[in-house]
Amino acid sequence: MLTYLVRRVLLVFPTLFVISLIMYGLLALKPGDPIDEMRRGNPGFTQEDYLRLRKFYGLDRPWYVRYWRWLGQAIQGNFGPSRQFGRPAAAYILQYRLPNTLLLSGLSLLLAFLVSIPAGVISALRQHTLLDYVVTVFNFVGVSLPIFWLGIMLIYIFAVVLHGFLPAGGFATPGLSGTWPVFWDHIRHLILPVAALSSLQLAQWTRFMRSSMLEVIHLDYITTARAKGLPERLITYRHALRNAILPLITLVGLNVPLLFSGAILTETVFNWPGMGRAIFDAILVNDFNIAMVSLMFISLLVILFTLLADVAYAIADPRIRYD
Amino acid sequence: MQREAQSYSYWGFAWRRFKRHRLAMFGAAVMILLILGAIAAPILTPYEFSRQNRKVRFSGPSFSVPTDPALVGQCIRPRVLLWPCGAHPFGTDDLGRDILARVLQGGRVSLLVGFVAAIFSTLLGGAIGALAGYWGRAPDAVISRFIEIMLSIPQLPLLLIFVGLLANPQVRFAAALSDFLGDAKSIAVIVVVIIAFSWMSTARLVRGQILSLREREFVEAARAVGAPSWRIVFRHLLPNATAVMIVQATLMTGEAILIESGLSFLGLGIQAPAVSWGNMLSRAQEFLYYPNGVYIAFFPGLFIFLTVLCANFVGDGLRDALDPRHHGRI
Amino acid sequence: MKGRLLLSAMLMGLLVGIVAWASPSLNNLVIGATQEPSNLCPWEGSADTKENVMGIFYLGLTYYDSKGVLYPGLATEIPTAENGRLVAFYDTAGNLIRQEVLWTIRSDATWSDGTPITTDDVLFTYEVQQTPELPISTRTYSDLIKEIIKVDNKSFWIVYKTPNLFYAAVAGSIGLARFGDIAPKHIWEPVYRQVMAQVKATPEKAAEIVEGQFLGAPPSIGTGLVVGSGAFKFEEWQINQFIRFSRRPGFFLGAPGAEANYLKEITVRFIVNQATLISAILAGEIEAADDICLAGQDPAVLAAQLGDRAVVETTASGFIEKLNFNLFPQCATAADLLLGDKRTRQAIIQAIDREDVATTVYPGAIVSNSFMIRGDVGFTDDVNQWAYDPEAAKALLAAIGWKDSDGDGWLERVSADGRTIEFDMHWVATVAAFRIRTGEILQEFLKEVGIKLEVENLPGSVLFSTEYLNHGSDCTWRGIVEYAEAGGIGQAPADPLSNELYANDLLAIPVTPLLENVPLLANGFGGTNIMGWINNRFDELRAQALKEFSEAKRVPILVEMQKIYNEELPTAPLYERSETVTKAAGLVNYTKGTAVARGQFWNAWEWGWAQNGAVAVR
Repeated sequence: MLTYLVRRVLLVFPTLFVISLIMYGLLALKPGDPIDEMRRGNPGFTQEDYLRLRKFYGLDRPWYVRYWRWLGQAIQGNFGPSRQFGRPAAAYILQYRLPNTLLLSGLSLLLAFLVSIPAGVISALRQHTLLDYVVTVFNFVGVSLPIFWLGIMLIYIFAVVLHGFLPAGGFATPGLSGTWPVFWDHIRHLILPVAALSSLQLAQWTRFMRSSMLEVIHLDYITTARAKGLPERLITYRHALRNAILPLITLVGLNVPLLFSGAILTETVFNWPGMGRAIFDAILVNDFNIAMVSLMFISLLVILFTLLADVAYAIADPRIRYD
Repeated sequence: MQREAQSYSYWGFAWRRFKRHRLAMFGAAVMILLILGAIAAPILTPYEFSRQNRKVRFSGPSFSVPTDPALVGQCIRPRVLLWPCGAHPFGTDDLGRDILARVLQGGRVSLLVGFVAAIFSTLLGGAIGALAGYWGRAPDAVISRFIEIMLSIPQLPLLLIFVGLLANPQVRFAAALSDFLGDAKSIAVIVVVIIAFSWMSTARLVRGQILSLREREFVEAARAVGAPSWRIVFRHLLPNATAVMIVQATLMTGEAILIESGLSFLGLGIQAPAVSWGNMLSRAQEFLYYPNGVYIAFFPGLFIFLTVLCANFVGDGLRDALDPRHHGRI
Repeated sequence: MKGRLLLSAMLMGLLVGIVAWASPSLNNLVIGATQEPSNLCPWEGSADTKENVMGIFYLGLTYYDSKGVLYPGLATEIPTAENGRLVAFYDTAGNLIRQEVLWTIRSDATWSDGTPITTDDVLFTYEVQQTPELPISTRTYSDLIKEIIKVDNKSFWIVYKTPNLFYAAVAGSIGLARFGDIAPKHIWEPVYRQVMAQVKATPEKAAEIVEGQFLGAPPSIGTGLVVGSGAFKFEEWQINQFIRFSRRPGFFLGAPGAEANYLKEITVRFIVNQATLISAILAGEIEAADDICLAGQDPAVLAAQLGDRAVVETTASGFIEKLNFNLFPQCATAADLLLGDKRTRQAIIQAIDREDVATTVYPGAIVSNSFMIRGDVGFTDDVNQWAYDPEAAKALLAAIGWKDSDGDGWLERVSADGRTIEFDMHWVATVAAFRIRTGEILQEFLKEVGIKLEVENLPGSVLFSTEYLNHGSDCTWRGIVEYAEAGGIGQAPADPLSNELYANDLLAIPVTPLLENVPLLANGFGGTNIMGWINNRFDELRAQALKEFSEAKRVPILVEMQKIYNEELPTAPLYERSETVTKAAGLVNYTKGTAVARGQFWNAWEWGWAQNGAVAVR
């Protein structure tokens, strides 16, 4: 077990290295560099200016040389300045984008988790009833709805038809003061994006919880407990649920990273200033530093959470051996 | 009169179980309808899908023909069943193009991308997973690590970079591809990119199956006879994993359609003038405030939803029908 | 239980109502914008992104009002020959060889922290502007300056090496900083000296130092003291959210009546996604829109949605959307299509109903037939209107030798060396929604005359890159590239350098070191004449116009230039883009009026709510 852990942790660094190399290479292959942004608005930008600035920024060197320099700096924690925002890329992402994504994704995860467990359990316990049927259909719907379409339709209903009952996106209304109005304003801006983003996970996890619970209920030791005369409620919550939740936790752990990078569609539709959107914009305008630091950060999160999920499952289920 | 002999084959059982799954049957029926509609799209509409009629932009859904003949626009045939030239059952978009005609045309692209990507991704994943499972030890370790790394790369951003790269005319490879494929290039790029990023889940599943099958007697027997590895894997082991792969392929179809529409929505997938359900949606958001503008967004999204829903129904039904665990209890 | 639900619902509704409505009674204004500046550095930046925001808290030496009239801003008066502030020197042949302009800064002009604005600020601004190590994107006008001579604390002479027609215009055409002309020395000098010292010490890290510590300096990103010369002062900048300004009491420019009747605070709110921005406008969260954010929207639809709550206004933008033709003989694909023959271009422009295109994709836009914009000095509409005439187009194409020999609906011709060439033309533009639509409409129109248009949309970062746009001779784009550029040569075009776009020989006015403006291998693919159009008469006239200070004499030159352009059509102008803004009912004096004013933000000191007593003077 320990050897497995150590091996997995050691693998993190080469994995990150490979990922960073691939991403940097791909980004560098993409023609167009930050200077072209400057050139765009200035017809008077001469070829001399262009060459001078290229040399200035070191863009005239081959990509693997630039990658090496980048790596050297990155290891020390310096990811360079962002062209778009005029400040250090890492600080910008960590200060302004990461919390927003965490807020959105975190709340979605929480919502999905809190709702899927009771929904799945009840559905499993009342299998083949109307309630179960309704929940199952909802699950299928949730898994099949394109998130961005759901977002657009929600905006249409709540912002257009209902005349701005809920805002059509954005993070907050500026110029508000006082804790209660500001808090309520944030909630208003969060409702629709969270609803859209959590729909997929909610549906998936409910189904998973349901099937996991179903499996556990039919197991022998539950029948034994029932035969022993234990009250139904105790059986459900102490025994069955605890075992049924374990696989869900692994699934949640594996899905968490998806919430970070996959939120890009939700962030686009709702104009939510998060990390997914930052990556997309950075790629479009060739802001290397922002793109790299966000991509590395997300990769790190993905790797860490996958590892955590595997470890948690191994600890929880003594039957698993990882040698 | 003698009763027809009941089939006791694996597939026979599976089909009977599938038939009992109501949602799956419904899904399959709708899916077949959609496929037929997509195939027949060019003859099913009175309009050519890209024909603009700028005098009737943003008209709402209706089956009636406008009284002023100047508003009717050009058609390729005067009527298809209940649909006369001049009527727009789903309304028109921002350039006056018929939405239903475009939805049907878009279905061809989206469904094609979905099926092709799903099938080949499953085949690729199945092959890799089977090889990994069969060889075991070092090769398995390498392949498994590779899968892990692929899974830990955030997929959507990498997809964006890849597609952006291949769409860029400056990149020599991309330009060559353009010359070779012409209009079909964006479709080909999407399909390849989706395959490249979704084979992993199938690989893992198949690997698991193969690992458990590897120690069975029929494999030993084949080895004893002297069959080469690849023969054992592809002729004997993989067919047993077929059930898993069929289910995966079905579910992947839905996934692939969602990925394609997501990418097209972001502007990196299928490029205009080709139509796909996803790229119809990408421009729809700016028109939500226009009268009848919501229909431009509503219908393509509805069809994506329906298709994926049906794929999921069918996949679920197939999984129940083909799952060996249920084999004993009919 | 029900009662509690009802109560909470009511409370929620109340809060929603309170929160959702910014109130004019507080005398502030929330403006919506889709483009956020990347920094507040007065020297660096391209045309439109920063200009609006900077215009609120910076005032230049001069400014244009909504009728296109030039007024002194920080200066006491506009230098002219009559008041002796504009001195021209001629050589024996009568050529203008030097020009000197005397400026005097107003005695009551101060920075927002109270420090007086002096000539030392001007000298410092010029020093920074000319520093080669800084990524100042254009030095075209500052390169014309020979030296700046200090007379006293408020007056100085600018000596130009060669005539600068735009010596008193805005947006950096004087030759000082791009935004606001004069930058505060007491704020920026410590930053500048420190950065330059570091760059000298570690030159290999120059780029990072400059980006991080000059462009990223506290006064540039809003984390330190930010001062400006304008009517409002900077309060705070929450990145990706908003920038807030508050009024400077007693500013020397004001509006009729008490100052308290006008705006006390302005907040510019950044919402990148246009649809989200529109919903915020409809919900009343945003009271005015800037002139860029509503691009492509239909003003009629907006007006219908807004009803009485807001006014929708359209003005010309100073940008002309046009089809640039590839005229390089080196590009075989374009040459085969005979794009070099002006009849082909004339046929294409007549095959398109530009009125229809404009109404469909850019409501409010006006069809253009010139490279100058309406309202500009010298603009003339007395040129061929190139009305929609597909028959004329077909006739022209037939005259050149195109015919549909195989009946497939597309034109072919046989070239001199015996090849059959199909009229298959490539069209490329950015991925902006209205351009995607334009491409589709053009396809239909050209199909009618037998031209097959191959449509491609690329992201701006690819399209505008040097490797793409400037390599027409290499056939990167091989037919038409469509985008918008600032109109012409006039007194205050949207971009001060747009006068070069159609020129080839710039020797007459050496604004660029390299002689030719057409990007070719020989000059390293530099230059802005990306079509490859070389017309010597046009170049001659342009050189003359840029030296002609008398408007009366300049106009006929410009008219002749426009006639040449209109006949030759190196680019086919589609329409002059219009800008749509919305303003909540009661907001007065928020208007651009003409493209010459450059934006809504030229007169922030006059904005106010009629409900609070502001007087409408525009």
